[in-house]
Amino acid sequence: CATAPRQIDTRPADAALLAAQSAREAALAAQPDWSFVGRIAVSAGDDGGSGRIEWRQHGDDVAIRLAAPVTRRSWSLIREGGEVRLEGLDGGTRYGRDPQVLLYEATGWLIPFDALGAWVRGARAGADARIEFGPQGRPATLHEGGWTVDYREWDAATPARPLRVFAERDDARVRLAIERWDAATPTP
Amino acid sequence: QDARARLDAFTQGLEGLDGRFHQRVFDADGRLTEESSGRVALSAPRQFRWEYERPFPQLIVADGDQVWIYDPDLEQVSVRPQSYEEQQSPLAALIDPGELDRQFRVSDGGSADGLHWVVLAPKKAENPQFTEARLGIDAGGLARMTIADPLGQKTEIAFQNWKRDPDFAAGTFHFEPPEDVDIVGQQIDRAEITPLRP
Repeated sequence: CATAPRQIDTRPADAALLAAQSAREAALAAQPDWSFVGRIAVSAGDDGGSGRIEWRQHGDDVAIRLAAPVTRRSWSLIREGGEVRLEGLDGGTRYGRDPQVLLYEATGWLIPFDALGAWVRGARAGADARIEFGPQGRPATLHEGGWTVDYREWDAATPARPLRVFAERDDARVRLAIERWDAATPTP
Repeated sequence: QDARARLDAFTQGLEGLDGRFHQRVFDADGRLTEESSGRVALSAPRQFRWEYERPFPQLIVADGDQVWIYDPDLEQVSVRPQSYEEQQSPLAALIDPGELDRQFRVSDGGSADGLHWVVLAPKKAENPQFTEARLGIDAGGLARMTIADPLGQKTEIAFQNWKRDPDFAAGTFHFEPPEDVDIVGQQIDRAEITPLRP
C-alpha cells in the first residue's frame, strides 16, 4: 500500500479536492455499518497504554472492545439506543450517555469517540473541520475541535481507507493502526 | 502422574525457555477474532520476552524491573513497573514455581485433546485478571495455555519447540527505546515501585 512520505506538499484545499472529499464522505455515510480491527495507543502526557481494538459500528450504535497484550484482558464500551455502558474495567460496569466522558472518568484516557468514528474513515466529523490534502488528493492532515489528525498511511482499496491515523490535542494522543477493515473472522 | 506433577517435572530446575507461540482469541460467542504468532522467551526469576511477529509487530519485554511494550506502527513505547504486570500472566509462574501456588488455586483438569490439564484460579478475589487459566501439558512440557477473561472472551495460546535453558543472546531481556517514539507510563528508578491503573 502507498505510504505518503512524511514531508507531503499539502496543497491548499481547493474546490475540486473538497468536492471529491464530500463525495467520499457521502459514500461513507451511505454505509452505516462498518468495523475494523487493529491496535490503539492512547496517551495523556506521559501516562498511557496500548492494546488491541475491535470497533463495530451499526448506525449510531457502536461496540468497541479493547484488549491488553498477551493475556488479552479486555474491556468493552457499548452504545445502544443512546445508552452507553463500559464493561470489564476494575470496579464493575459503568453507565452513562457520553462514551468519551465515561472512559475519561474510568481511566483518565481521552478518546473523542464520535469524532474518531469519522476521522478513522478519512472523513470530517463536523462542518468546522479543515483539511490539508496530500499528493493523491487524499486528506493528509485534518484539523477539528482542537485536534490535529495525521493520516500516515492508506490502503490500496478504492476509495482508499486509512491504515494509520495519529490524532493529537495538547498532550492527549490517540493513535490507530488498522489491521483489517472489517472485523469478520480473520482468514488464516 | 497427574497434570501438576507433569508441570512440576517440566519446570523443575528450569532456568530459561525459548519457543514459538500461536495465539487465537475467541469472543463470548465463540467467534475467532484474532490470530497471531511469534516468539516467547522466559528467564528465571522474572524476565520474559513476548514478540508478536504476525500479523503485526509488537514487542513486550519484562527486564526484571519494568515491562516495556513497543508498538512500531504506533511509534509508542509504554513502560510499567513489573510488579503490576506480573499478576497478568500465568506464564510468569512457569519459571518461578513458588509463584504458581502463591497466586493461584491449582487443581487437576484431567486430560483432553491429548493433553493433561492444570487449572489455575486466581486467589486474588477482587478484579482478577482472568476468571480461569488452564495449562495443557504433554511430553514436551507446556503445550497450550487458555485464559478466560471476565467478559467471556477466551484466549488460547499454543506453544511449539521449547528450548530448555538456552544461552540467550545479550540484550534478549533488555529494551532500549528507539529515537523517534513516544514513551508513556512511568519509568521507575530501581528503588521506588508504584502500581499504575490499567
